[in-house]
Amino acid sequence: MTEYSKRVVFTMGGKGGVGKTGIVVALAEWFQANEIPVTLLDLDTENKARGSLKHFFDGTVTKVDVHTPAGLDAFVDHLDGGAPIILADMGAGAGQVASDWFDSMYEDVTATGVRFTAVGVVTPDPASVESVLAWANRLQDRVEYVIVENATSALADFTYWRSTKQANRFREVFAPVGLQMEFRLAELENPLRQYGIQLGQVADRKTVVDELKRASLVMRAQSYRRRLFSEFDRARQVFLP
Amino acid sequence: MEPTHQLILESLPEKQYRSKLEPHRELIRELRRKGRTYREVARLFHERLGLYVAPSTLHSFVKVRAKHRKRTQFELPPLELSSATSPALDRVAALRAKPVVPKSKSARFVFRENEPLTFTNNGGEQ
Repeated sequence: MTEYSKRVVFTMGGKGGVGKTGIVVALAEWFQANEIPVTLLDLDTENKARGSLKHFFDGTVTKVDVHTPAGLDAFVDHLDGGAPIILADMGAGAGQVASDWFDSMYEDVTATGVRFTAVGVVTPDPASVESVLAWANRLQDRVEYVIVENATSALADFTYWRSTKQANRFREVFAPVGLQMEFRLAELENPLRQYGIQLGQVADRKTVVDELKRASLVMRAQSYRRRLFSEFDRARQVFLP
Repeated sequence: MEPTHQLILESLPEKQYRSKLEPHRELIRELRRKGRTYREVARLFHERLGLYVAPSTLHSFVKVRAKHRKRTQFELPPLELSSATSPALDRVAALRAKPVVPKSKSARFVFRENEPLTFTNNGGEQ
């Protein structure tokens, strides 16, 4: 029986702009807060600068081009002697690459004690739901699933995720862990992306950006972080080896 | 049994039918083990022992005794017996017995990307 000691957590790419990088940044902060070492991989070749994982964690993120014959072998290389957890931000359009890699490498990689968690982000946009389901169609039960409902507005409506037959079937088959990412005020969210600043830096008053030093925004950041970390705590079994 | 029948049986001496090949049983067995055909065995018997015997008689002799004495091995030993002394054949047998892993499992979840999402009966209600 395989003894699992490592975990690769990656975002299911596909639909762009749904908040994949945002959830990876928040997860990286959660691991950091719990003093658990992780390797951060930025596999989003389309997202070159602003808004990329590397933009938020410059110097500690390895950029990997998955559109090569070796594809996602970076998982194997970085787990070999490195941190027990990889947090990878997969870009849009990497579905076929990921599928091919899982087809050829999955069995041998899991035999070395590696488990996989695929994080899908859905928004009210039906395309985001279709994207997650299309990835699941390829990955099947080779991964554990986390689905984040990202409220992109104050009254976000997740009908396409919660009430369609295809999504129901996905939930029945794979029993994904569901997380909620609440809507964040634009006054906070936009500068975070603009300057590549982590939520925790605002919450802990460690940012040099003046517009993010406002007491109300600091308090907002603290509230958002607390609730998001509480979601991650609830789902910790699929984020830890 | 009726007394008359009993008397008849008791009056007759035992008669054992024995083939003329019976004294040569071990020789036939060894020749067969060495792969000699019944035709070759018949020729050897004629040339070396001066005994005329048809190949079909040899065949019947071997088969009848093999049937009546199942534990006696007259024919060539089966493959399993020789494999016990051959590691290569053991490995061949092990490889044959190895379960085949199916190339791909049938998908538990199917999503057709070209079909639109369809609501459940209570779709739209939150």
